[in-house]
Amino acid sequence: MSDQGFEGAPASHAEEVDNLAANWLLEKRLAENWSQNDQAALDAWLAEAPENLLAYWRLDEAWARAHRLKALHSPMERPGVSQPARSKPYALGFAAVLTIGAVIGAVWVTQIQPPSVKTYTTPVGGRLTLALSDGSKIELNTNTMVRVSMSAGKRFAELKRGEAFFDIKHDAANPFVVDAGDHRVTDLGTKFLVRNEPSYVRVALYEGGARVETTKSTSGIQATDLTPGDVVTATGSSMSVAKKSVAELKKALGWRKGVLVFDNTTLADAARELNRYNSEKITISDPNVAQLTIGGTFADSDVTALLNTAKQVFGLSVHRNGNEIVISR
Amino acid sequence: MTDTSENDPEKPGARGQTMTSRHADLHAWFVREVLPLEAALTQFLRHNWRGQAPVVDMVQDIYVRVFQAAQKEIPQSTAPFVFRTARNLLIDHVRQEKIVPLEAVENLEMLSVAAETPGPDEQLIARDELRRVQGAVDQLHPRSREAFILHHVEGLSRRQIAVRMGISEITVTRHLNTGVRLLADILYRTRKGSRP
Repeated sequence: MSDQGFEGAPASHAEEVDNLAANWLLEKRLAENWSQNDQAALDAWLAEAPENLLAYWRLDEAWARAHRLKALHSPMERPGVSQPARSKPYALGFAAVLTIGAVIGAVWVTQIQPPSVKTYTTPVGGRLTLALSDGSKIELNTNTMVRVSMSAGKRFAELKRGEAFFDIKHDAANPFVVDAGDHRVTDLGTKFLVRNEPSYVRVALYEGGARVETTKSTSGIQATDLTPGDVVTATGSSMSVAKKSVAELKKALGWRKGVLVFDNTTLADAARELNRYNSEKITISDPNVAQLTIGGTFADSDVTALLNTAKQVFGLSVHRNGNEIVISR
Repeated sequence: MTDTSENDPEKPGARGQTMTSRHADLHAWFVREVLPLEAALTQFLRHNWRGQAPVVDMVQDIYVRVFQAAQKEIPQSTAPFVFRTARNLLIDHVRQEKIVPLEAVENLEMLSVAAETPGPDEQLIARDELRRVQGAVDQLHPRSREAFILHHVEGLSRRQIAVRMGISEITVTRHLNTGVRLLADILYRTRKGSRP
């Protein structure tokens, strides 16, 4: 909106609004006396059109962020800026803020130096991408908790619940280890998906190589090396490996874009998947209904698409009861 | 990403004066969840749009649509919602302008740019935030930058800045106007701003 200098007519409606919003912001922020009448005039302008309000919020946020630079020690080079403000209460306030800034700075440094251990969670329907310091990425699906520990000699994450996609930068000297329940995945530079449910742990490998092993087992350690397309499902007592095409596996990653991909999926499974993302829960008690199959791409936040399919395609009936949605004949 | 409830020491409570709590929720949501998507959204539009309407105007339209929907209910996951809105807007424009990039629009893979938005490691660390803003201020035009630093860092008023820089107050305002708009563009619209 302001790639150009301040001369010249704005080239678009957005730029025009942006310019006006900046004028208002500066009038308010720089005014020595901002009266109620002034505020009323600003409010009237903001209420005129949503784009006015949104442009104002955007600039106001940038302004507020710049304002926090005050707390920085030796903020930046100041070419052409002569002596700092003398007199005025500012000088004193500024000095005090500088001291605090320096102290906080020291604390930050010690806190963010490795090893750093952090826990990240997503709510139902939430999603989060973690960009790790080594260039690896972890994407958390709905209702998920991951504890990440990064240090010079060790890269470790524990999937406490839910599902996460790992895109790990290879480092032969320092493999990335993921624990989920009683199972451990050790990567060899890979992309893989881990899901930790109360009754099972599932690991699907998309690229590279990885090893899955049990960390607690009564019948000795079980381990298996995965190649792309492998899906390991481990329960308390067993571990099974299924082979799929990577293309097929990719359907399980729709959530990264906010969608669920169903392909010959039973209504029961589709409902179970959708329920992970929404506070409204679909239940299907009739086993014959539960075994009907559907296909297609659905927004994970939208239960109505599935309900419409149930109604219009299968002629089923749908009843809502608070947060519960019952599909039946 | 930033704490919008923090009052500006210049004008305590000024921000809260006219806000209902609903309004404050929308404001906080817009600043925290929508603005950080602007770089990815702009890239998505530049990639998929060959029509007449300027991309900045389309971003504005998307913001308005998203905001109007959020007035009814704030969406649970913002990024997919924003990109769905972008996609719908593109389709509307394609129909109006009768041009073709529909197959690109239909390509769901494009939505993956949403995943490229800054991760929480970047969002959460206050030191990075200050460094990022500082880097953005450093990119302003020299006179805008000087006025910015005099005001935000040294706490000078408009009149004091005018005296210090030897220019009129109106010119100070113009420098700050250009400055804050470019700062917002660097912080939100470009990758540079979101990835220092």
